[in-house]
Amino acid sequence: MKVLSLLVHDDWGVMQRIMGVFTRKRISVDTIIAGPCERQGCARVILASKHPSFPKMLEHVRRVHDVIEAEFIENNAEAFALLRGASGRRSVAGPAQEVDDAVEKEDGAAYVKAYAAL
Amino acid sequence: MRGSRVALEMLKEQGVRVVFGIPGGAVLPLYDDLYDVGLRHVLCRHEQGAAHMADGFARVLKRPGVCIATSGPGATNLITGVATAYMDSSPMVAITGQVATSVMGNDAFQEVDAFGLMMPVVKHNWRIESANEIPRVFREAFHVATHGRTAPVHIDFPVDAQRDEVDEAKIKQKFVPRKQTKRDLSNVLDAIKFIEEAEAPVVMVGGGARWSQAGTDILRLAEMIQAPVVTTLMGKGAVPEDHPLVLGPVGMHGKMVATYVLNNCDTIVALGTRFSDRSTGKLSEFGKQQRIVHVDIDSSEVGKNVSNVVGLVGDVYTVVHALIAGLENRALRKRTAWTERVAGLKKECACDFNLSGHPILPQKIVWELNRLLPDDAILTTEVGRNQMWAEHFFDVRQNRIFMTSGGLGTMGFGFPAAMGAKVAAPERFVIDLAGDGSFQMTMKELATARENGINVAVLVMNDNALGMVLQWQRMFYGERYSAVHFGPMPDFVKIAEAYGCEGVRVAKDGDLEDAIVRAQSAETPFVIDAMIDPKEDMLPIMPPGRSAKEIILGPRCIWKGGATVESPVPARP
Ligand SMILES: Cc1ncc(C[n+]2csc(CCOP(=O)(O)OP(=O)(O)O)c2C)c(N)n1
Repeated sequence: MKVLSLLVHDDWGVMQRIMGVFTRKRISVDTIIAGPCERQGCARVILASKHPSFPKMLEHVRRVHDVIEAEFIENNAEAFALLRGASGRRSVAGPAQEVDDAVEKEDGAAYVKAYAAL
Repeated sequence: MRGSRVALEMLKEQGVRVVFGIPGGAVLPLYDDLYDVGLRHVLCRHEQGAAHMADGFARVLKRPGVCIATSGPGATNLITGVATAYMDSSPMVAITGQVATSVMGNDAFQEVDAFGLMMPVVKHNWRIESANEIPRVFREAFHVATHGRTAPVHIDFPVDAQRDEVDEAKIKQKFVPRKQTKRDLSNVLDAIKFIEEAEAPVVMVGGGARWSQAGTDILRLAEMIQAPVVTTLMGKGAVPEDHPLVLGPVGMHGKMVATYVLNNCDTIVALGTRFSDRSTGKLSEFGKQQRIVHVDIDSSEVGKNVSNVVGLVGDVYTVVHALIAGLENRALRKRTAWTERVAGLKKECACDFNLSGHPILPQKIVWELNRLLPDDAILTTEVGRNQMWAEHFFDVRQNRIFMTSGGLGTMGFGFPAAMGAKVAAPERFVIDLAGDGSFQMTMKELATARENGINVAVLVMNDNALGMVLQWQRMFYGERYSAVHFGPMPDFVKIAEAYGCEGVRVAKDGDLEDAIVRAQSAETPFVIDAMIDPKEDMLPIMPPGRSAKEIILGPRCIWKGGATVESPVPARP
């Protein structure tokens, strides 16, 4: 799993532009986190993907006019997962591997998971 | 000042003097103000034509062309032209009206998500949310279109923002660009090493070199390192083709000598090309035995189609100068064996295409154009065999310009693009070398040309068919002709006359000269309907998905496979 961190202008259509890059190149993005950040008028978008061509996409994403910074973040990915199983709802957060393992153990529970890194 | 007026003032601030477009409900304020501001407006007959005209204009002046359409169908009609410009990196500012922000999203009359539709075919686009954004958006639009890799941009302009007042302060506010174009020349020493060590280098020139206007500089580099120059379809004309080192275009319908030399050299200095499959043939087999220096202004192009390159990111002009500076004080090896071999191969490829026949052979038409067009003529093409005859045989010497839709391959491009070119350079002779199929896509713009005194010529290679597709069906689909033959053709001479233009039919090649000469002094747009032999295939061809080794030469090609001149250069392992 590679994690790509983007700092973007929070303008109309920015997600559509970013995702358009991946759609066109037939690269599936596994998880997406987008949200406000410390810079006014900007946002951070964190994409994670296992696709073999994902690491080659840096320059393509940097080309998007709304993208201010783009970089891959190695080795410190965190994850968040929300699970709903027989025993109710719970969330797990922490290092990506730990969350992956926790989700793995929850057999059959509904869940959603996303990766982030800074 | 209201938004629409401010927008037009912004265009003027950017040096725009002419815009191409068609009005409609969502651009009424803009057109109302157009009445007063002293911008020339060319009223087209279809928005696609407006976009191609803006594109043709840009390709001559290297400045953005501007086109305007209304919302909904106006915007969708514009898209083909915008996409055509995008694929060939032509700068353009496309403006579409939009329904008022108050009803946006309601499927209001003539509402379409132009913002979303245009996104994949522009470098960037903006939807103006309030009138106060107009000065910044317009200034930014021109900046983005012209900085870094040139490209079309789009502004979606709601009608209420056109009507609303703009604060004076916003107009005066200084524009600060958001992004600086980056260069990366950190590999320049590696590039120089490759070039120095090369025994058989080739300079491969793409469209980027034309946008960067680096022809003279490229020739200087080529002379310095004694490398022949080949071009892609888009690079054709970046360097004058009468220079002894220039071998012509490579690729699917390129010159054998150019394709051969490109594939049998040991080092490629690629300048502003994306290594399109039409130039390289089967990508997995391209560049296997070569070292490649790849220069492009767009960092995402480096390594995209051909990997294992030494990449230099920057515009061709700047990078070529950096290379020249780096090589200048070095003792460069003499590459006499290589240059002699290439000169020999060039002779092997120099066929005589002054071919007579009845019906007319298409080669003959290009031969006549080479002879009769002035040295500053502009030749545009449509798409199909017409385009490939022009690519292969048209001689872009001196200041001539060759203009074609290379990336998108848009039939119907050539004629309106020729008109845009003529608006940009009214003193030059501009001619569209067309196919009968392509011309029918946009020939309605004859009305625009006549009305505005845009006296361009169109030479229709009339084979009563969609010739290129017909040829592929003949060659690759067992002669099963499907939907390629036209029925009774419209009479293009009468069509010309119906639009108040001059037209002439040419059935014998002896009459071509007279027609081409007449076209050059015509007082109206001029249509030459030349009846050509539909059986004459455009050859040689590198079949799609195949490599340079599998080129089909055809009966007329005199190329002997490069074997007549012995190679002094062992291929690099
Ligand atoms: C808008 C568009 N539609 C379809 C095509 C596919 N196409 C490529 S070449 C060609 C035939 C062109 O015929 P014509 O203009 O008569 O030129 P010729 O090949 O006969 O010179 C077609 C249909 C295209 N390139 N563009």
